[in-house]
Amino acid sequence: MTQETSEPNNIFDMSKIKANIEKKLGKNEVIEQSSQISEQKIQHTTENLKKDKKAKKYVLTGISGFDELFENGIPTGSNILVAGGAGSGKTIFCLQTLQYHVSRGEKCFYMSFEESEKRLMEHMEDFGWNPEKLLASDNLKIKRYLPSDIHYLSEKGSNDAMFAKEEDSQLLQLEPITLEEGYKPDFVIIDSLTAIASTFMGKEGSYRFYAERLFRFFEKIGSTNYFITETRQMPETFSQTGVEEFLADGVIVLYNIKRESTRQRAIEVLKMRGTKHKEKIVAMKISDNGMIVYPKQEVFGGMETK
Amino acid sequence: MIELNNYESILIVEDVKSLRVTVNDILKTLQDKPIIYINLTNTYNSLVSNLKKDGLKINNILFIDCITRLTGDSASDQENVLFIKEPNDLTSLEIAISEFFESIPGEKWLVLYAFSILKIYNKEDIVLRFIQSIFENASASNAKIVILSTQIKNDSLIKKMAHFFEKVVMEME
Repeated sequence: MTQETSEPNNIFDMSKIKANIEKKLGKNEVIEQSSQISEQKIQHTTENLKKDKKAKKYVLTGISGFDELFENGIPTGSNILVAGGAGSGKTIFCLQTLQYHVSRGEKCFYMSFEESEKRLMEHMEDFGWNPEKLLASDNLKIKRYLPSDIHYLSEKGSNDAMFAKEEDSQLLQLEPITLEEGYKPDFVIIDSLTAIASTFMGKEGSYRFYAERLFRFFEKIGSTNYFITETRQMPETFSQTGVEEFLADGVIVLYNIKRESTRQRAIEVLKMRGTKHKEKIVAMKISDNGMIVYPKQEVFGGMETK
Repeated sequence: MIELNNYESILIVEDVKSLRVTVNDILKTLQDKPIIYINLTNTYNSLVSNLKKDGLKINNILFIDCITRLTGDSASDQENVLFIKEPNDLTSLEIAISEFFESIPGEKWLVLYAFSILKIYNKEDIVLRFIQSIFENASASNAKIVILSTQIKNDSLIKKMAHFFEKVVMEME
């Protein structure tokens, strides 16, 4: 027979502690936590900038825990590769960063060579990021590009336009991609270099040439740019040809490693020019409200296959 | 019964039958202290029912249950239990432990039963890293550790792990 003990009131509020753990594990109110961390970081960064006007400007992602991997943030105007295997969270990382900046009144442009605008908006809705409201603010643009939108020139500089019919020397003057006239976004997502590379099938040299022009193009605009690139789950190179990671100022790698019947998520800042960052693979989760990074949490298992 | 308060960390290795009694004795001794109990043996409902049967107060225990969801048991959510899907999700387990340590100022205890189960689901080197990491966290936040394991002949991992502990109680085979 079960003996029910007469239990005194809790000395410790275990339900509150449990709620805090759940929050940490991404079950509740992550957005709120993310904002708090980021606001603190913004204040810190702003103060640093005030102290030294010549200092570089930095941007944050607003992703809970991720910004703590940097001393100050990501240098403004950087070209960053967001690399990872299928399902590792590359698109979520980028969309979450976008929604953070759009909600702060910055102009963001999502260039999709893969998914439709509708699908991307659905992803945002899944995490409660209210894409309709963000689009209505005029600070967010999502556009699907077709292979024919890629202004392709061969590495020899000849009029080797893949999709353009005219063999016109004026083609040499073309930018690698067209943006709306006068449009100057603060942040651009290019989704993805993998899709762009696939239009250069069998012409690797031409793709390298194009990739270089694309990086230079965005450098000129001055925006901070995230280039999504698909890799293996445990990559040794982080882009299609390997050249992109040399061109990029930063490389962020997302992992989703299979370990028996489960998967382990992790994230790493492999490279970031112009700022100090933690050189460590840390745990990451994707919750109902978006991505959460655990900047102090080492990852147990799965990574040892590297 | 070992004097728990004299040590920061204790490893107890016994046969299964003795271990069940020992873990209940430990929980009884510590019942007025905050405890995070990593449960790797019984489903939550069965565990709590047994503890209550033994007259144990469970108010100050936060259970981290790594078994119930694995067995497909649909135990309902309670305010003092957190379900981890599988015993190989050591990352979530460590996040939970760290948060518990940070949430409670002063003395608190971690009781892990049974360590031998962790080895079934994880590679040895990973388990060792996990334990090492728990020790680092505990030392930073004044937490005390009791880990209980069943006896396994020539257990190399237990031998390696024993170096971390202030007190090791190992029943002779």
